[in-house]
Amino acid sequence: MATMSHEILSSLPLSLRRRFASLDKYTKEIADRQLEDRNLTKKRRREFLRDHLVGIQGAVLAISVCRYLEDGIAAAEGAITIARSLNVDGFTVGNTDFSEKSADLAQWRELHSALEALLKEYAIDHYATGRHAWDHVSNMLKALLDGKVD
Amino acid sequence: MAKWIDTAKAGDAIKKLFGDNKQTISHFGQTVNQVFEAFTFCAVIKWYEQQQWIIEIVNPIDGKTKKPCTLVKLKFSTRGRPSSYSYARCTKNGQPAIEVRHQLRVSTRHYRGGYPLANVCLDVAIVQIDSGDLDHFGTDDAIPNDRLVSFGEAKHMSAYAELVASFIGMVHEMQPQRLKRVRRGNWPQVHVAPFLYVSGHLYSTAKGIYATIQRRKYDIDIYSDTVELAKGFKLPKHNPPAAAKAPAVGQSGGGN
Repeated sequence: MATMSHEILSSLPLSLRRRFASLDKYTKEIADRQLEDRNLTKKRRREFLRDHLVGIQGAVLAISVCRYLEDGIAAAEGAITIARSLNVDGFTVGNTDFSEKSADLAQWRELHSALEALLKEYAIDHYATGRHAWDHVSNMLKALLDGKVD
Repeated sequence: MAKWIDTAKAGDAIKKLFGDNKQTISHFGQTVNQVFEAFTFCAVIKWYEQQQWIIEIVNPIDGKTKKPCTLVKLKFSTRGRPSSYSYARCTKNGQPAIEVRHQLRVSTRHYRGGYPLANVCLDVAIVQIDSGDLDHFGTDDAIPNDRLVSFGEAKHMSAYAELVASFIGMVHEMQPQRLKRVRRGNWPQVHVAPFLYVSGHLYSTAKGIYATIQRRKYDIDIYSDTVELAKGFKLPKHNPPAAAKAPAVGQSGGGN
């Protein structure tokens, strides 16, 4: 059965798949490291990760893709704002014009909003505070180990 | 007690979302790296404007309309004549005029002429040249290193130690004088310092090297995402959505 991460990765275009392909491995490493910092024995860590790693990895990937969309949109908006302040409408990338009325940018925003809504619907957004995978894993471990979720 | 994530349903829902918006997510994936570069380029120009430089955006002539383009056109490849792309000409009383260029080829500090050539295409290059000097430049022509004021590199990945070390190597090739104990007391802050911008995170290994760079007072900066770059260049008003929640990433970098 495909994991959540596999489902998400398989639906991304190649350029994004490449970017996030190794995130699962990184997430596992930092989860294990944080569990060790919490003084869990090796056996207990192994059991915990067997039960929860798939969820943690899927959530970290979903949050990371959402943040990447957010960052890309922010970069486009930032560049347009600066260009406009210098009396230029925006900038162009290949056949795409990025200006205030850019239809492509509007679609990026819509997709980002829809993804954010899904993160909320599946209660992944609770763990999205902070900017780094380390923070998100930490949030999840705290919730799981402190018995705030089951 | 709250329920843990239903990974099967969440995975299916996200997959469906991207499946339904295949064209949009593909367009994002194909374009976003260039967008980050455009933002970096614009941020540098804005920094100069905030330092009271007068900015003139020079756009290339549109082949169809025979008039200057209305949008900034950047050079997203190492190939191409500089005159075919937009740049900013910056002037300020008492300072030699400079130009902010994208993907400009610049000779390395130790190049002494002849073959083989030694030059690098810089993602953002700030150069001191007379107006029109680059109009006749071809795709392989490089400007002399002594014309280089500063530069920036944009990488579309998270930064690990090796990437930061590689950037230091680039600074060593282009502007070795930056790799001395420059940032002591009131060091001159006339121009942006050479910087590395990564669109991802700074891994802890990269943070470690950056901490030693700061300790050694090198005159370079590292920014780990759009929020950091915007903060570092002290860009006005426009705050990306996540800015309020962003923690420090271990650097206090600022353009100088």
